Amino acid sequence: MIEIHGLVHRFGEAPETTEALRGIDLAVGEGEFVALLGPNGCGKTTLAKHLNALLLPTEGEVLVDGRSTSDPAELWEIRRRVGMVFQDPDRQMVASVVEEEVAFGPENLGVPPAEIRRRIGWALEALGIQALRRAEPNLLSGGQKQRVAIASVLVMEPRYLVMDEPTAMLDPLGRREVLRAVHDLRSNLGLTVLYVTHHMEEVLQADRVVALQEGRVALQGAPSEVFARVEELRNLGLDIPSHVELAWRLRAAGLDLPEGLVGEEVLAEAVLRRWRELQ
Amino acid sequence: MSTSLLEICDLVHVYMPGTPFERRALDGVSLRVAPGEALGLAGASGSGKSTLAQHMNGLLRPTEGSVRVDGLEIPRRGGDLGGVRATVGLLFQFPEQQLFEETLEQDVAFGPRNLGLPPAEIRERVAEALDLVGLPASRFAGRSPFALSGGERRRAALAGVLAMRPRCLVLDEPTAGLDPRGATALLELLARLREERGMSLVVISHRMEDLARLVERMVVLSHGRVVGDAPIRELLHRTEWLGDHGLEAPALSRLSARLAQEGLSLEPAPLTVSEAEMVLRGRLCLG
Repeated sequence: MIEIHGLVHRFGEAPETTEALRGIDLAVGEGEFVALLGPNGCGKTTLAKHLNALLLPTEGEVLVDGRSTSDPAELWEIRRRVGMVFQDPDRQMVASVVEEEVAFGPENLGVPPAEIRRRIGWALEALGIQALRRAEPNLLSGGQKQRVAIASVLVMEPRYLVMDEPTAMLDPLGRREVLRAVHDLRSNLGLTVLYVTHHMEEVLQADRVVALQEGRVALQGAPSEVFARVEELRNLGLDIPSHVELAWRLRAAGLDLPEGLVGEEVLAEAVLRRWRELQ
Repeated sequence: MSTSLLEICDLVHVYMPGTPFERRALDGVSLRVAPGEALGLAGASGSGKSTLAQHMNGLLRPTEGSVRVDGLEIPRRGGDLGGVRATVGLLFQFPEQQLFEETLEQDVAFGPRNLGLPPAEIRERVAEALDLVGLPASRFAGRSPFALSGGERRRAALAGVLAMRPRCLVLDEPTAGLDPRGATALLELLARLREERGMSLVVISHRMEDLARLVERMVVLSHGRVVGDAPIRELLHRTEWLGDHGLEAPALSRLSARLAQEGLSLEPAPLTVSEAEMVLRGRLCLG
């Protein structure tokens, strides 16, 4: 479990400090998929970097399975438990062959070679990229590269996967590949996922959505609850999927639609039902 | 006398010819862009969009075929491209990664300084470009590009291109990675540049909904060929066809297609939530 208590983060030296996080309290349970939403500058990347001690609290505390990120003695154990995947896969690649790339982390930890090979096979399979084992990372598509980046984290056998806008630089196909991989990891391996994004349609299947604004938690709940609050979401500067917004407006105009989150198919059926009644 | 600002005829581009890595990235592309026109350019990754964009201001040279900018053909090799570069400004993907000077003013001045313009004119152009992108020189000129937000850095990079006073802007995924507010601000800025300054736009994007807000016409590339060149409203409603070419139809187009299948066809086909709301309120007799 990850627990965040009263987390404040200030960048810079007084008097020119910027307060990026202004008191965050949040707990992420075992096996949970939590989506962290918010516009640029709301503090979501800063928060993500606290989870594996890339940043340390100015005030407050971050605990990973009870270990404080502020305790230097716990640093390596925390980093092993919490794997990070960033936006730009190119900046995370160091090797010239996929399997070497994926082996980089465990090799540095001195994991025995046979065990490394086992983990590589397992991680590549978990991400559906076994065929790329000997490929050159440079020549892969964005979606493939990002899955290699996730595999390189997975071989460290983390409990928590923190992903900071992993699809922001991908095309629609790559985005779908990565999203599917993340969902598979979660359902097959029971990994706990903290997924940072500003695309709402990517988090419809999260267990919980947490929206940040100016360094504070502005809104949280199950997607069906959160996405029903269209006005608040709009004020937070989030992009509301167009079918969600259309459903919201048609419901206001009297169309019979369930409250909360409405999928494309539910909307289409409600429209057709009404249309058939009229005929 | 041609009325096209950009005229591309049977353009072929081969990367690494004569090697085992030879690749025909563009395979006979023809298209025109009129002054003041906005054109969307779409296609799956690897379809040749970025290669085509780099031909539009002479960064790449044709293997075969021709590219004319304002009537002047870009030579296959050599030649003075100053005129072409002044006419067509190219904004790369993630251009903010190329900001490098200590202050915004120096960064934006880089292009005009290379044109050898007198200092007074450089200052004027820098101030104008920064104002245009909503980073007024009075507040931002002395700031470090690295102290800006993601959306601001993107606009700062655009200011560097605008300081060259191009008549045509070619933008490769201009909203990728921006948050919704930043993306909307950028799209509105581009629409304004076109409206107020008569600039032509060529916009590459995977985000069909962004394109629909900005352009009337869309060209779809697939494997280095033009497979569609038509009004965007028409193309976005061919949802299956878009899927065949690796593109994702917007949610509203998918909804219209689904409704049409069941016999409820929406005319005019909606592209925005407001249009869809209007037409559905009417058809469903909602208040």
